[in-house]
Amino acid sequence: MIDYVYSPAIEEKLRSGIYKEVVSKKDGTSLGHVRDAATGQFVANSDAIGITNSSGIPLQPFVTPLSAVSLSESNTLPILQSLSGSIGTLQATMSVIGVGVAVTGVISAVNLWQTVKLRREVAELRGEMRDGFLDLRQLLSTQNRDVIEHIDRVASDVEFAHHRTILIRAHGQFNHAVRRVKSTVSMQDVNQRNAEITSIRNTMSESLADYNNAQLITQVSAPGYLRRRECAWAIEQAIALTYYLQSESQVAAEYLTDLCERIKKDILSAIQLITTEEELEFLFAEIKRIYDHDLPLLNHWSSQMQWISEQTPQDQKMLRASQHSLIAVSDQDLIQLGSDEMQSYRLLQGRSHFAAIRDQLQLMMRNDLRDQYIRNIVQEAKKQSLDGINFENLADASLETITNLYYLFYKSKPT
Amino acid sequence: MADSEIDEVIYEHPGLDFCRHGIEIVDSPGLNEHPDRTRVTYQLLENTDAIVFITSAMNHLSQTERDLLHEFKMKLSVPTESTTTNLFVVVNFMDQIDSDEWGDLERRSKRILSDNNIIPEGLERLYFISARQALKDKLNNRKSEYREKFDDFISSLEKYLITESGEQIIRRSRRYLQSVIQEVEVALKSSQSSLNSKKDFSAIEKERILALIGDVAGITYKSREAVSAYRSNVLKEIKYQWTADYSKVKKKVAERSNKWTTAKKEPKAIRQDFSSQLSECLLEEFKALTVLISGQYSQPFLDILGDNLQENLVHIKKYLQSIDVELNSTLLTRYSLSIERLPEQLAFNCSKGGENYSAEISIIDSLKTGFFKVFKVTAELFSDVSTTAQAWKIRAENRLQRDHASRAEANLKKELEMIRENVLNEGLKNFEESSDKLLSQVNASVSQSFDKINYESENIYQNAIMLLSSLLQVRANDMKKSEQSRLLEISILENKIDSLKKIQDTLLH
Repeated sequence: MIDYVYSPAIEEKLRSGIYKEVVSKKDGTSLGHVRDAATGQFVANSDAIGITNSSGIPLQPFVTPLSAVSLSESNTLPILQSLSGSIGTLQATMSVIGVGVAVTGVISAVNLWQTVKLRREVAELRGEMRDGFLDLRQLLSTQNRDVIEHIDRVASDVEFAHHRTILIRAHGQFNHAVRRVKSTVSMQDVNQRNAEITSIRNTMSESLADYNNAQLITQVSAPGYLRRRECAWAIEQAIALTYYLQSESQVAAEYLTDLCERIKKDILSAIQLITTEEELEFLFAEIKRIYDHDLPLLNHWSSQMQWISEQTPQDQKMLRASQHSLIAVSDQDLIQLGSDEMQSYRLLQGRSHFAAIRDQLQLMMRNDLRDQYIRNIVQEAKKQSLDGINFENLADASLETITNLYYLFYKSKPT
Repeated sequence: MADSEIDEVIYEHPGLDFCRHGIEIVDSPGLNEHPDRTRVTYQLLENTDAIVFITSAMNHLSQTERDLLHEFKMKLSVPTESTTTNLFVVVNFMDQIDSDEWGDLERRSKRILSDNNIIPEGLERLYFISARQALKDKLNNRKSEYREKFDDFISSLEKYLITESGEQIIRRSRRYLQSVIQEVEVALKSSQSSLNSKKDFSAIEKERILALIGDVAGITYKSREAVSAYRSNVLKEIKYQWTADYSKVKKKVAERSNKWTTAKKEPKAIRQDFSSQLSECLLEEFKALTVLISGQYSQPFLDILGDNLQENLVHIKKYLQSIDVELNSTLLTRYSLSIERLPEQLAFNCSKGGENYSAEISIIDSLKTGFFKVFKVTAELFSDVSTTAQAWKIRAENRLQRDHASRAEANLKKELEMIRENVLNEGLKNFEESSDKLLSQVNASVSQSFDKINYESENIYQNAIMLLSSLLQVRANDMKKSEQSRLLEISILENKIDSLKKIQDTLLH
């Protein structure tokens, strides 16, 4: 669930009932559009000035561009370009993570916080491409010498060289597809335009196939796996946009809903690969961010697409042609947020432990697993006459409490 | 009446035209004459349809009378109404003042009553009469202004009592009901908001207690993890160092064997004497080794675990205390009682170099039995070699027989040395063979120290979880009960509002 924040003038009219916010039929969340209550007409210049998640925290996703919420045809290209830029940075971090077990003391150089910083530097054109891959050595030059040396070691690794070749090709293809979108959106002939977009989507799908290549995801560490999957998710979002461009909002909505499920599955697979505290720390921050920010946004995006598909052709046309101002978020804010997540991991470390924190991440992705844990806890608590630890009380318990209790009862000997 | 037992005197007058519709006239006592009589008048006011306040034109509407009128108005008014309509003010004795002053008197009276909001402007409730003159004129069947004014008053009062007062009563009742409904609705809203805020509070409270339970569960597991990791580290280290440490014992015993002395002459007795000296040396040196092992390897880890436990205990107690302050509960006392035995142990267990406890002593105590068992084996082995010793004795005796007596003493000295070496070598050989057994004894003893701290930690944490769990349940039950009673209260209020609204509707129709 997410909420929009409008300018004070719009907010006032919403409060007084002059305007009405359009809400999703599916879950009742706001869709970021404002209508005149009397005429039902969309209100001009009513773009939201902010957007928050259900906890009231400004939405700042990691992989999904925030500007996706202010979707219109004219905004499609900047969104695609943003996705491409993200993929470039994300896969560049693989040159630090490498293939195989992640090396201790190195992966923190490309954690959530650092990656957001890197992305900002790349956006400011401070990064250099080297053989089709963003050269991180230059950007990380002020950092630990060990990391730079490690990048060189990874670069000379045969297995990584193979991965690198696949990644360069995949990103190249995707970039090519994005460039083609630019000329396509201005095409007047609808049939020709749709055919061209289908062709672009096929190219994106080929790129996606590379990222989904089994060779690319076997023998990789948890952080390596997650970063590869994040690149794939970015491409899938681009593919959803191609359906939107073809006025197939309903298909785009379904595609995005499915993507949310795939993301959860991918995250669960990544969690299975965690073997060290360092990897856990790396994944904790990133998964929490994706869970709190990216997934709500993608779900919302899907609801928006669904809603657009239900509008009259006239309204659809008007919405597609509207000149939304993109909701932007500075990477500076993202950096701040990244450090908050690291801070919350540190706090958690004091009260919880490796296995329980790892399981918390799993429970985030699977509600059924949470129920299962609660059932087991209550069963054991009953045996120990701990009456307060019952279904009713645990219904409101945090994931931390649930996993801590689970390990207390079921894992008497640490793993 | 004040001193009389008579409450009222009823005087029926069937011919009185005014009372033909069941109207009753009550002549109440005056006010401010006597407290008892004033009380009677106030009681009458409660069930009166209309009040006729009679004042005199000669001294009319004095401040005392105005105050009284104001008081009447307050008594007669319903809260939602600003004025009363059933208060009639009659100015009597008009014949006693000059007719030139009438106009002035009437204007002044009207102003006083309307300024004080007693009789609103436009409402005919103020009359100027002369009862005496009116009666006179009536008896003489004579028309006059006095009679006319008196009749006006009577017909106005009659009209009010017969028609207007009923409507007035209904209107007043409806208004009164409305105000009651409003009051009940306010009470209902307050009950509902109090229920919601209690729900919020209960949720926050539950969340806090649950979070603390979760924290303690996490700490318990971490503590188990730490104990397990430290124990395995210590055992690994002991194993790693064992051969070297063990050799040191042997070396020291060998050195000390040079100082063995005996007063015995017989080889068997000498052997026994040396054996017991060997036993003493081995025990002492082994004790020193175990002191070294536990002091060097286990104690630092036990200290860390003890410090952590102490720190967590403080953290738990602090939390419980904060809950006690909020809920006025006695969690901290109950918790302290439940772990009463533990803190003391904790103190000496965790104190570095505490005099009552040391891991070394614990190890030695548990080793003693084991050591002697091992040493017994050694002694048995010695006795196994007693045949050899016996053969040696025979050989010595044979030699003694063969050799000359002068050589006997030198030989004995040499033999003494041989016995010492024999005892030492055999003893150390057996000690060496018992190495694994002794190591496992040391390990078991070290493990015991860790088990003990683990046991204490579990007790401390488990007790906290039990206490918090029962608090959670008690609070949840309390909240449920209070929520139920509040819901009941709300439903009663809602029913009352419904009933009142029905009555209000009935009155309206």
